[in-house]
Amino acid sequence: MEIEIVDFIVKVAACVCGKDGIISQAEEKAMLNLIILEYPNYPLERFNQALDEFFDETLQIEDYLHKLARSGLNPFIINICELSASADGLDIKENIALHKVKLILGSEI
Amino acid sequence: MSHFADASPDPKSHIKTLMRIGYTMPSAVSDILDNSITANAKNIEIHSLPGFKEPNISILDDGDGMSPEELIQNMKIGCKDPSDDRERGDLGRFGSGLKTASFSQARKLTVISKKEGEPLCAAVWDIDRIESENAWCLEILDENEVKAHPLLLLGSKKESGTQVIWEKLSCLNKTNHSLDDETIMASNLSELGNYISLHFHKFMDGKNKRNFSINNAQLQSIDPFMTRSPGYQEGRSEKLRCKGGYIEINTHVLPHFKRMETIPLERLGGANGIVQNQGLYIYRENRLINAGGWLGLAKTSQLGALARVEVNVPSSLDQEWATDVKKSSLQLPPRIKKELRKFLADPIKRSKRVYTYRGKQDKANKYWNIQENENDKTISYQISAENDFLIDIFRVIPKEQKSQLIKYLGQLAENLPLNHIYEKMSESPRDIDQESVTDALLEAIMSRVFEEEINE
Repeated sequence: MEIEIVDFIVKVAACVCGKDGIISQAEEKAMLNLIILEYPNYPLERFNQALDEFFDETLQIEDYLHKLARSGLNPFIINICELSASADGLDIKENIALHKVKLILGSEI
Repeated sequence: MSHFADASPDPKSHIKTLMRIGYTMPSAVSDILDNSITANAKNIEIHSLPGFKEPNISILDDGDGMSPEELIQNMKIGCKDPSDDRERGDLGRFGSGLKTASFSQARKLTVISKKEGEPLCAAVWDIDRIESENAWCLEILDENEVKAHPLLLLGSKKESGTQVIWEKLSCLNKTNHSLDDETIMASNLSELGNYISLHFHKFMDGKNKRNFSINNAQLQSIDPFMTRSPGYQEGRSEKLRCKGGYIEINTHVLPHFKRMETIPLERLGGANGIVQNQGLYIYRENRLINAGGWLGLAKTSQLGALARVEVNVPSSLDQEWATDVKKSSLQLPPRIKKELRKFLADPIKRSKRVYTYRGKQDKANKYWNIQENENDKTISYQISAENDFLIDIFRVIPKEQKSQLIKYLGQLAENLPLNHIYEKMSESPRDIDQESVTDALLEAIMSRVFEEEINE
């Protein structure tokens, strides 16, 4: 596992869930569960650090996805975005962001 | 071609604007306390020294203190950029609090400070001088002048600390018919004590405890949620991750008024205060900013009086929450409003339940119930409405007689000879015989009816 790749996956999911500047507990928990299921060795500290970095960075969803372009993990990325964002109900902004992820990755699936 | 002209504010007019920024005396002092906490002070003392011709207020702390250069820098109005990121626990924001808060309450501000290993230093803003000179002239005292200052409390023995002195007080609001200065000051300080005890209550307990005192009287925290009172209910909580940390939301339901202890109830403003101050309690870095009110998210109601929603916000979100210079108000961002709405229904519903709870009901037997009301602290014996025999009677008798019977049963229960029963049960319980009362009753009614018929 390339740990930086997982960091970027976390940040893409954070982009979808945290469109308004906050990520709810349910969303964060869903995100973490899915990450741990797929990458059991990914440390919790790293997960927290990735989310903290996300709030301090000005990168857009496209920028993060660009870094994941050749990862071959598109189904997992779409899945984590969809499940974590809908953990406490999918609002309009989250839905638009999710659609964007699907649109960008869809052409490569 | 366009050109630029110097349009910097006139000091004389500008200072008048700064004096009317809208602080109250407690909110102004709180702004100074914010600085003390940020400077890692463990002991913060407020003094109003007696024996002077003019009243004065001193706020003394044992925090990090300032060097002479830092003091001059911090005496400048707007000495910090509001958009700069602040460290966690830093309660400042605009770099204006010390000055604007002080100018709103006093015409003379003296700051005496000492940093570890540095000499005592002091600087004075005097509004009278600013107005007469029409210039921002900050007076810097030399060491001897500082040591000879009549209001100096910050001893040279103390390793570090800061003393803020307010003189020429404008906060006393004196009119021709006002009470004397000392009486007004005593009343102001009492109000200030309550304000600090509530707004800084999270700094008064726990591992990061600080000591606050007014004229050497230690202040005790006021817990707006009464978490240690019997009957307190803790509700849902949630942590929302955001820039710079978490927004924490906790819901609380206070115990019913009747179960509250007298002193905490009085300190929270009595029953009226409890009703008026229901709602959101928003903390910025553990300092209470908004004490109650639903900020448009719910309606204030008598039944919702016991509901409280605690929101803890990091200072990194100041811009999104539109924190003002006084740090006494803020605006909820739309997403937070949406999140908070999810939390309001539960404490309000539970507050209503506490209010309307009539206590537990036990069956004494199939004819009598015992009602214990925990809120009113009362016990009453009531005729059971679920008795099969009574229900059968109600089914067959006409409507008019039903109301007569209800009235009679009500009177019967109200007039239960409890004292008499208690007395006899205590004296001679074995003599009481209720087994043959039905026959006796029947006999008495029959003989009365028979008598009436003969008379007719």
